[in-house]
Amino acid sequence: MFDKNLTDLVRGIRNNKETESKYISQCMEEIKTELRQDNLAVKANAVAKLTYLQMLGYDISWAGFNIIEVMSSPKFTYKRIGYLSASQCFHQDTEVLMLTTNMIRKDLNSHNMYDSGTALTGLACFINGDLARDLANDVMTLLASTKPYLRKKAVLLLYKVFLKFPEALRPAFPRLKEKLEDPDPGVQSAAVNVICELARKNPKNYLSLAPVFFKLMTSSTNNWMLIKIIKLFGALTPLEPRLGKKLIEPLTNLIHSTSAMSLLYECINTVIAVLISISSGMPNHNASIQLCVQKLRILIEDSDQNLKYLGLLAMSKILKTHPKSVQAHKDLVLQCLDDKDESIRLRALDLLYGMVTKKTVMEIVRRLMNHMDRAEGTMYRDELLQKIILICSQNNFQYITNFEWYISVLVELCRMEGTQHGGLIANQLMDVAIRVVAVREFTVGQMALLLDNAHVIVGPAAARSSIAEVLYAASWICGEFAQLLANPKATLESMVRGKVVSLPGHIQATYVHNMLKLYTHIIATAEEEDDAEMIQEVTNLLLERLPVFVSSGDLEVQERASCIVQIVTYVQKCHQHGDKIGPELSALMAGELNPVAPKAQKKVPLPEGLDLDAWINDPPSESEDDEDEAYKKEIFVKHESTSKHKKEKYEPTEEELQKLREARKAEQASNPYYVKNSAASVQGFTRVDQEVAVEPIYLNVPLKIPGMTSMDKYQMVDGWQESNKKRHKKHKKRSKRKGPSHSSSDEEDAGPQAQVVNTDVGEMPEGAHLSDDNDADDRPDDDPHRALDINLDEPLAPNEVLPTRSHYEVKSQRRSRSDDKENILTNEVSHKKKSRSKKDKKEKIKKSKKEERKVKKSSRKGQDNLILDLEETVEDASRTDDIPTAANHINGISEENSKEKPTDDLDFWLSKSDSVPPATDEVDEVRAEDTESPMAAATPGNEERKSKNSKSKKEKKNKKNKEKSEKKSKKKVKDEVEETVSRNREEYEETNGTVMQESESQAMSQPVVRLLAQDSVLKLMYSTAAMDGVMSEVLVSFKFINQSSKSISKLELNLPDSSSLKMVRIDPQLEVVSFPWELSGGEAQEANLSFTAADDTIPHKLRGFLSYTQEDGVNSDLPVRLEFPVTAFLSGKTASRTTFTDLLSSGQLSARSSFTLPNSQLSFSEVLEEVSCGGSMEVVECVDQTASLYGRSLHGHHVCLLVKYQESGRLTIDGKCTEGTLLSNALDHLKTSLMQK
Amino acid sequence: MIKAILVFNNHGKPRLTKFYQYFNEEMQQQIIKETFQLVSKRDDNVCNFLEGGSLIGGADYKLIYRHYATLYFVFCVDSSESELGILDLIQVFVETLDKCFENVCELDLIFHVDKVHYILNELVMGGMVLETNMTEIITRIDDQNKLEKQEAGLAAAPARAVSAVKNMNLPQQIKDIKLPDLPAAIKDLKF
Repeated sequence: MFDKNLTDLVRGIRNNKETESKYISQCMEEIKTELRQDNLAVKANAVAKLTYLQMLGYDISWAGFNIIEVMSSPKFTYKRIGYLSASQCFHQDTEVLMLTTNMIRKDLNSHNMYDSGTALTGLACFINGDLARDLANDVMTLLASTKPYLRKKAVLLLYKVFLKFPEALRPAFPRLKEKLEDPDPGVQSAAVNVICELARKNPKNYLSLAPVFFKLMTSSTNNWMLIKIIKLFGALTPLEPRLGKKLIEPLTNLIHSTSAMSLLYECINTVIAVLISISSGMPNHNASIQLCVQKLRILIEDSDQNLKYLGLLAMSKILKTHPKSVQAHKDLVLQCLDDKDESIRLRALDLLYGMVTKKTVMEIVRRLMNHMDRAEGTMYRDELLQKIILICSQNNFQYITNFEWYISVLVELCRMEGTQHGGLIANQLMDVAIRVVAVREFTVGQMALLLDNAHVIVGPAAARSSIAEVLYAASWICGEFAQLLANPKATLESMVRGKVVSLPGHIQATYVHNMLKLYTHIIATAEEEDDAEMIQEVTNLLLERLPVFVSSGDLEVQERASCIVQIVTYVQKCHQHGDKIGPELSALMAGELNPVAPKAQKKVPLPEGLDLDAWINDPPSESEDDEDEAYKKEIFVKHESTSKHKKEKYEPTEEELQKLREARKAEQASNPYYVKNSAASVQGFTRVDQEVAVEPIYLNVPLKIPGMTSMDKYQMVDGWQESNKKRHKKHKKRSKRKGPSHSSSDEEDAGPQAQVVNTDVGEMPEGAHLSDDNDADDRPDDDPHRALDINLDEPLAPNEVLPTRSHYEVKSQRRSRSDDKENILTNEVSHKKKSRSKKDKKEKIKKSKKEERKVKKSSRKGQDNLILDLEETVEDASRTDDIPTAANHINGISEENSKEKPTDDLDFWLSKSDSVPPATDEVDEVRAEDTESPMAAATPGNEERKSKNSKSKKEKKNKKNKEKSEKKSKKKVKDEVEETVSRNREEYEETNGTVMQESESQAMSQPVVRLLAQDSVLKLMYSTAAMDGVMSEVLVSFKFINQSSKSISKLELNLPDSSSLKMVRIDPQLEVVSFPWELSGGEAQEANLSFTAADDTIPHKLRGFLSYTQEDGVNSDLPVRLEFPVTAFLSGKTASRTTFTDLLSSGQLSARSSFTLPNSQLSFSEVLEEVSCGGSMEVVECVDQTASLYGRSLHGHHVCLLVKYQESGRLTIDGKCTEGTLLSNALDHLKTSLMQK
Repeated sequence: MIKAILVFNNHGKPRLTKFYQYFNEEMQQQIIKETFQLVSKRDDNVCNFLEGGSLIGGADYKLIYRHYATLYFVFCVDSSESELGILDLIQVFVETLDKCFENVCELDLIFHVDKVHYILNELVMGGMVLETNMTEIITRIDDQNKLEKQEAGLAAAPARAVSAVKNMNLPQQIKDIKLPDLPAAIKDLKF
C-alpha cells in the first residue's frame, strides 16, 4: 500500500532532475522486487510504472511475462493496465505472445463489453501471425455482437488480422462487406475504413464494390466516412474510367454544397483523379477542371496556411495532365514562393517545376536564382538548387533552347556556398558536355576556367559541402575533350598546381588520369608542330608534380599516378632517342563515349557458353572466341570506367588495342542500338591524331572570376529576344525542324539554336529493350499488402475457411489420415464434371502452395518450440479436414457464373449512366437513377443479410436469374429497374425453404458419406455433421448425382418432421424443400439442410420421398430413409488435453460402459478412423495401440472413449459419459459399424 | 493509417507516445527528438503539415500537428488519411481531454498518462480512426471509469487516503496551463 505508485514515480523523477537516471535505475530495482510478489495489485502497479518508463526510452521487454500476468487478471482495472503496457512494448516477434492466445480468446468472449474492448484494442497493436490465425474466428464472431462498440472494434481489428494472416481475407470478406450496411454508423464507418485501407493497396480487387460505395456516398452525411469513400474512389477511377464519369456529377454537387473544407478538398482531389483517368470525351470536362482550379485558387488565397498548402498540393496534381489551366495562375504560385512558410514555398516550387515552358524557363530560373541569394538556411537553398536543375533537365532538357545559358547557370550555381548538391551539378555538366555536341566547346572553355579558379570554388567552407564534385566533372571534361581546349598547357598547369592533394580521393584520381589525357594531347600536337620545347616543358612539369600523387594515401590515386609516371618516363626516353610517340600515346585514349541506357547493365544477356559455376582456371577450349570475349568483358563495365581502368586491368600492347578497336567497331556496326557516330564527330574529337582547329574563347563580360561565364549575359539576350519576338520565333522554328535530324550532323551551324541534345535511349545490349520491364510490383518484398492482393470476387474455395480451435493431437496419426482424405477428395473431384477440372486444378495449386508455406513455417518454428510445432500440425490437419465439408458448398452453377458475375454487375451499373445523356435539364432524372441503380445492384446484399448465411448456391442461382433479367432490362428503359428488383425479390422468395449453411465458422471432422437412396436415374448420398456451439444443429449434406443422360428438374424433397427431429426451415409453413437447379445428365449437385434434435441421446430416423421430373416429363418418387445414429450428434471440437483430463478427473462422467471385440479384422488405424470419423469423435491422445477420444453432443453431453487394441486382434472400447443412454447407444452403433467392416 | 501519435512539450519532453508500428525504444526516442526538432522550429502561424521526418515514414507520410500552449500534438499519417480530417481529430482528442480532466493542462498529462492512453484508445485503434463523436467517446470513458471505481470499492479507500496524504506534500497544485480558446478557423472544419 505504501509502495510507490505511478504518481509517486513521476513526482520522484521530476524532483530528481539532476540524478534522473540514477533515480530511475533505483525505481527499476523496486519494480523488480514488486513483480516478484504474488499480489496482483502490486504487480499491476509495477507494470503501470514500467509503461511510463517505457515512454522515457527504457526497455521493459524483460517484464513481458509479468505484463501477461497482469493482463490475465480478472479485474478490469488491472487488465487494462496490462493490455496498455503490452500494446506499448509488445510487437510481432515478442516471444511471450504465444502464451497469450487462450487468455485473449477468453477476454474477447468475456461477458463484460469493456474486457473485450480492451482486448481488441490491445490486440490491434501487437497482433502477430499466429495470434491472427488462432483468433480470426473469434474476431469474426464479435462481428455479430449485439453491441455496436464491439462490432466497430472487431471490424477495425480485422484489417490487422488480414495483414498478418492473409488467408483470412477471402473467407471473412463477405461478412466485412455486410458491415457496410450495419445499422450503426460507427460500425459502417469502421468497415469503410478497413475496406479503404485494403483497396488503397490493391484497388482492382475492390472495383466490384463501387456500386455499394456509390450508394453510401450519395446517402451518407457522415463526413468522416464520405472522405474515406471519396478517397477510395480516387484510387479506383484510374482502373475504370466509366466509374469516373459516373462520379463527376455527385462530386460536383458535393463541391458546391458542402461547407466542410476537408470534404471539399477531398472531392476536388478525386475529381482531379477522375479527370486524369478520362482526360477527354467528357462534354463538361473543361468545366470540371475550371471548377477545381477555381476552388483551389480560393484555397490558396485563403489566409489559413493549411488550406494554402493543400491547395498547392492539389494544384500540382492537376498540373500533370492539364498544365495550361494551372499556368494561368503562375502569378499566384510565384507569390507563394515568397511565403514565410517553408512547406508552402516547397510546394510552390513543385508547381513551378511543371509550369515551365520554353518561353518561361529563363525567367523562372532567374527568379529562383535571385531567391536563392536571399534564402536563409542551406537546406532550403539546396532544395532550390535541386529544383532549378530539375526544371532545366526535365524530359531531356526539353525546355532549354540555349545551352550556353544553361552552362552559365550551372557555373553560377557552383558558387553557392555549402551546397550538398555538388554531385548533381557535376552530373549535369558532364551530361550536357557529352550529349550536346554544339555547346561542348563552350563547356570545355568554362571548365578550364573552373579548374583555373578551383581555389575560389573550393574555399574554406568546402569541407562541409560537396561542391568539390564540380571539379571532378571539370577535370574530366577538360581531359576528355582536350582537343577543344584553348590552351591545354595552361589547363594542365592549373591542374597540377594548387591544393589538389586536399581534394577527396576519387577527384584526385580523375585529376591524375585526365592529366595524362591532356598530356597525350599536348604531346601529339607538339610533335606535329615539332615543338620540342613544349614537350620538354610538359614532361618535366608532370614528372615534377606526379610524385606527390604517387605517395598519396588513396590507393586509386597512387596506382594511377605511378602508372602515369611510368608512361611519362617512357615518353621522355623515346623523345630522347628522337622517336615520335604521339600517335601511340593517343591510341591509349581513343574511342568515343556514348550514353548508356539506364538499365543497360542489367539487361546484358549472359553470354552463351558462360557458365558462372564452372571452374575459372579450367577455361573452355574454343580459342577463337577470345576477341569476342574481350569485348563482352567490356560491356559489363561502365563506359567511363572502361577508359579509366583499361590500363590497370590488363596492359594491352598496341596490337591488342588495335584488335580490340576493330572488334568493337565490327560489333557496333552490327548493333542496332548503338548510336553510330557520324563522320563529323569522329573528325571532331575522336581521332586525336588529326588536326583540330582550336579556337580560343574570349569573353569580355566582367565577372567575379575573369572569363567565367554568367547567366546575366543571356538574360540580356533574352530581353533582346523579347523585343524581337517575331524574328526570333521564326528562327526557333527552323531549328526545331532540324531537331529530329541527327545531332552531330548539325555541328556546322553551331549557333545557340542548333544545340540539340542527344536524346537517344543510349546503348543497350543486343536484343534487350528498354520496355521489357520486369519489376511491375515495386512494393518491397516484405510489404504485407503484397500478400493481400487477392481476388475477392471468386467464390470461396473449399480450403478457404478460418481455422477453428482444435486440441492437441498426435502428429503422425493425423498427418497420414488427412493425406488419405486428400487423395479421396482428389479422386472424387476427378469424377466430377469436366468443366470444373480446370478450376479445381487451380485450387489444388493454391492449396498445395499454402501447405508448403505451412510446412516451411512449422519447420522453422520447430526449432524454437515443440508446442508451437504441434500447434502448427494441428492447424494443418484441421485445415485439410475442413475441405470435404466445405467442398459440399461448391456447385457447378455458382462456379460457372461467379467468375464473370461481379464484373457484369459492375458493367451493368456503370453502363446505366452511359445510356443517359448528361444534359443539364435531365439532371433530376439522372440523379434519381443514380440512386436507383446501386440499389438494384445492392439488393443481393440485403437479401444476404436477411438470410444471414451468405454463400449459398440458392442465391447464386438467384443472382444468375436476376442478372439475366437485368441484362434484358439493360436494353430497355430505366423505368424497368424497379420492376426488376421486385421480380428478383419474388424469385428469391420462391426458393425459400432451403437452408443455407455457412462453412466458414464450422470445422468438422470428416463425415462419412452414406448412400441414402438410389434408382436408375438418381443417386442420393448424404453425410451428417454436428454443428456444436451456438447452433446445436446437425448439418446434412446431400449429394444428388444424375446417373442418366437426361436432365432432371423440379427436385423436391418431402421429409416430414418427426416428433423429436425437425428440419430447420426458413419458412416453417413449407413442408417441401424444392431445389431450384436442374441436373443435366451426369451432373452432381449438393445441398445442405439443417436439423435439430430435441433428444440427442437416442438414434433417429426420418422417412420421406424425393420427387423429380425427368426431361421427358416423367415424374418419379424416390423413397428416402434418413438415419441419425447418436454419433451424428457428436462433434469432437473444443477439447484440449488439459480439459480432457480435467473432465475425466472431475467425476462428471458418471455413466460407464464398454464392449470388446475378440478378433477384429481391422487394423488399429482403421479402427481409429472408423471411430473418429464415423463416430464424429476427436482423437485426444494416441499412444502405441491405445487412443483416447472425445466428443460432445449437441446438448452438451461429454463422451470420452478409450480404444485399446492388442496384437491378437482383441479390441476393447471403454466409454465414459455424462449420459447413460447416449453412451450405450453410441457404443452399440460403433460396435455394429465395426463388426460390419 | 496513423503511424504514430506523439505528444511532447515545448522542450521536447515526451508526454505521450503511441507507435502503431514497432520501433525499439532507442529508435522511438530518436523519432521523438527528430520530430520535436522539425516541429519546434516552426512558427505558430505557418501551416500544420510537414513532410515526414527521415526516421519515421517516407514519402507517403506526413506529420500533422497542433500546438496548444505548452504541448505539441503530432500525428504521423500516410496518404490515406485526410489532412484536415486529422487536424480535426487532434481537436477532438484535445477537447475530450479537456472534458475528462476539466481544463486540461500539461500536468494532467504528466501524472495521468495512463488515462490519456485510455482516452486515445477510444479514438484511435491500431492506427485507424475508431470514433470521432465526442459524446460517444466520453460515454465510453465514463463507463470504464465507473467500472474501475466499482472494482476498487472499499478496498481502495486506504490507498486513496495515502495518496491524499502524499498529495499534501505537493508544493503547489498548479494548474497553470490553460487551453487557449479554440481558433475560430477550425470551427468550420467541424463535422
